[in-house]
Amino acid sequence: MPNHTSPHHPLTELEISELRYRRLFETAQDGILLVDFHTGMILDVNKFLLDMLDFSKADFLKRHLWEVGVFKDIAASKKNFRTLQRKRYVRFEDLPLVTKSGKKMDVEFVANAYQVDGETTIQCNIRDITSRVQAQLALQEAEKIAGLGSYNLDITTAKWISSALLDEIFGINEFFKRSIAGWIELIHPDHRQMMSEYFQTHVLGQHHPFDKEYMIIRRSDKSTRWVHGLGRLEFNPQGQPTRMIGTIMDITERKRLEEKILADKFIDEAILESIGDAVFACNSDGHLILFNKMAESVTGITAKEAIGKHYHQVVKFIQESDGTPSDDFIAEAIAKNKITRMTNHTLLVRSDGKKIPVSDSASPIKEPNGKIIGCVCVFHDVTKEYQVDKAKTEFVSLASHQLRTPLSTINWYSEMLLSGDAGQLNPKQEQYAKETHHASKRMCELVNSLLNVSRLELGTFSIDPKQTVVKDLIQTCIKDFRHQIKTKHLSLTQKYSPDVHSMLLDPKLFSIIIQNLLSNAIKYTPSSGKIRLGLTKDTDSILITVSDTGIGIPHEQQDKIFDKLYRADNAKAVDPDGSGLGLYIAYVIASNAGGKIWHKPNTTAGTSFFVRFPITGMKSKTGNKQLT
Amino acid sequence: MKKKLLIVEDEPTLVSALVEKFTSADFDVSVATNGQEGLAAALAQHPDIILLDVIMPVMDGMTMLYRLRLDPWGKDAKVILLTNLTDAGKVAESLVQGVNDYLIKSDWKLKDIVDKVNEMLA
Repeated sequence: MPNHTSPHHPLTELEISELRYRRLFETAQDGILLVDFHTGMILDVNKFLLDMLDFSKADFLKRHLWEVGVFKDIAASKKNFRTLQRKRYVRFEDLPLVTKSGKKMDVEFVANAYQVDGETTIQCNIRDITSRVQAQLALQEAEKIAGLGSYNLDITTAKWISSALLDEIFGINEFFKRSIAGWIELIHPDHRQMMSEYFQTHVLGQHHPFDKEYMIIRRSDKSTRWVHGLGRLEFNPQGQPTRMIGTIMDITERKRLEEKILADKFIDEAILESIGDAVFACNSDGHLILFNKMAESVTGITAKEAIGKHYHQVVKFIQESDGTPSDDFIAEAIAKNKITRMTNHTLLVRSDGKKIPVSDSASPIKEPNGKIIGCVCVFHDVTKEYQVDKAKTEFVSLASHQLRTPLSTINWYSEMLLSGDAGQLNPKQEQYAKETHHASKRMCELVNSLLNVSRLELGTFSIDPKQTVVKDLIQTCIKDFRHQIKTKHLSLTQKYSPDVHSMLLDPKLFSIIIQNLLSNAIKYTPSSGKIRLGLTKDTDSILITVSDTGIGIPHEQQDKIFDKLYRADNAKAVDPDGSGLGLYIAYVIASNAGGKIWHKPNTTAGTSFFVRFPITGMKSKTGNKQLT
Repeated sequence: MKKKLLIVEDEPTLVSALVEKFTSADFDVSVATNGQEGLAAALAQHPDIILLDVIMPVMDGMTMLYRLRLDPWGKDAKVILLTNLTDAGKVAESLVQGVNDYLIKSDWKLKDIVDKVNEMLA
């Protein structure tokens, strides 16, 4: 095997050195160019560079460095060469080159001038950094997407370098002094002390990773921003931290959102806790997810006990009448997607077994897409209202009883006097007895009207529609007025459409309306006048008309005629004793029962009143009192 | 034969008027001034009809009616409530107890009450 170091072919030191250099030159993983210092003529080029740039050796040799076509900017290249001649060293970290096939690449270019045997030669080392540049660009892009700026802190010098995004977050430019003191200055005064201590003690002192959210004052626009800083320490062999590499993320938006959510939550909780009503919420399966303080107080069950359980197990609503469960309104709110109310007279069974009257409503909880995810139930203890209402009912009941008893006495005794039970009266006695009887009857009517108004206004009257033959009911009302009609020689014509038979009406309330209209027609129509009463039907309603040839309603007073206690001037003249309640009562009843009442002056004389009810009948209404 | 009427009413002036009117209408009238007396009188005399007030001392009309209905004779006795109470609850309660009519005193003339009773006994 040949041996180049054999004594038969001794190599000079120079030859050995040359050989070593040649091997290095040929096998190097960098591109190498040897250039004449004075002319810039390329003297040699290694294979690696030729492969890198796709050129042949002939393309390079005997040409000037800037002539081979790899440098994009020939003028700049010439200038750089002159710098190289002057400084004997140049370094470009990121130099763009073009390969023979036109591919662009980034290289690190380092050129050194050195002397061999009195000859000055330039060696250029060219390293392909395209993938590194791409990786850096990708990293920058990733930083941008993640909103993450990065830094690299040299702890020994207390200097740091930062990525473009970090500069953007901090609002700093290239002139900013990137030191620990500089960083501290950027921190919001409220956090400065805390962060300084954290960094010194926790991170540098105890070698914990940096992980902290803090506020900064952005240098460029002086805005307050929240950032999340992370950092990892690197240590020297002695265990001293030498470097910290980390990221900074702008979390201002998140923080603001969090603060808003927190504020909203506080407000919601404060409202829920301080609200005078008991509130609980359940998910769509009926399991409780919220139970406020008042709910605890009313039910005697703590939120801790309640939450997670089905509302059936916790809140027991029952009917006052028979004790059967009465919580269908919650399921109904979820199932039918509407606000529901519990039925009247619902009791809540407390944990101690005590039953208390409650009033309540349930409302579905909806996601923005409309999906129902649960139900909120609001209720309150109505014991007091219940007691007050009961007291009111009893008072009205008692007052009516007490007022009517002496009136009954006057009625009956004046009646007996008038019917001669105590002997024949002389004309004057008869007149006085009649006045007494009349006044007493009026008093009775007034008491009834006032009680009705009180019930109407309390909203406690009930509407209880029953199948009623409309014509029969109207005729019963007329019967009460037969005597007055006859006395005043009025003509009453009645017209009933044959297709109106029976419908759902509360007979008592319907009678009150008809009686009031008829009574007015009779009262305000002069002797020998005409009253027409009609009942007709159209597609979806019935219409009752009471028309008279009476004194009419003054034009300017027509819109007040249904007001409580209002009496038209001409009506006062005819009957000074009217209460001004009849039409008001008729109006309130009609409106509450789903009907409508109005009037229109007749073209010749008098007025027509109209009452319309839907063919489906009066609207039912629960209440604990009837009108009289 | 005269029809027997029991008036259960605590207000003396009203009792007097009723007694006078029904007596002259040829009724055999007896009077009790509270529910307890009224119940005893009803069960002893078996009147053809009872005019019963509601609010009375000792025992009210509704209690008397309830007890009356427990009696084999009383369960079918004719009873008219004659009261000035217009409370719906009382009306409903009386209907449950099987009252034959419910008249508001102040709205009814004596003559009409007599007619009503006669009509009911016809």
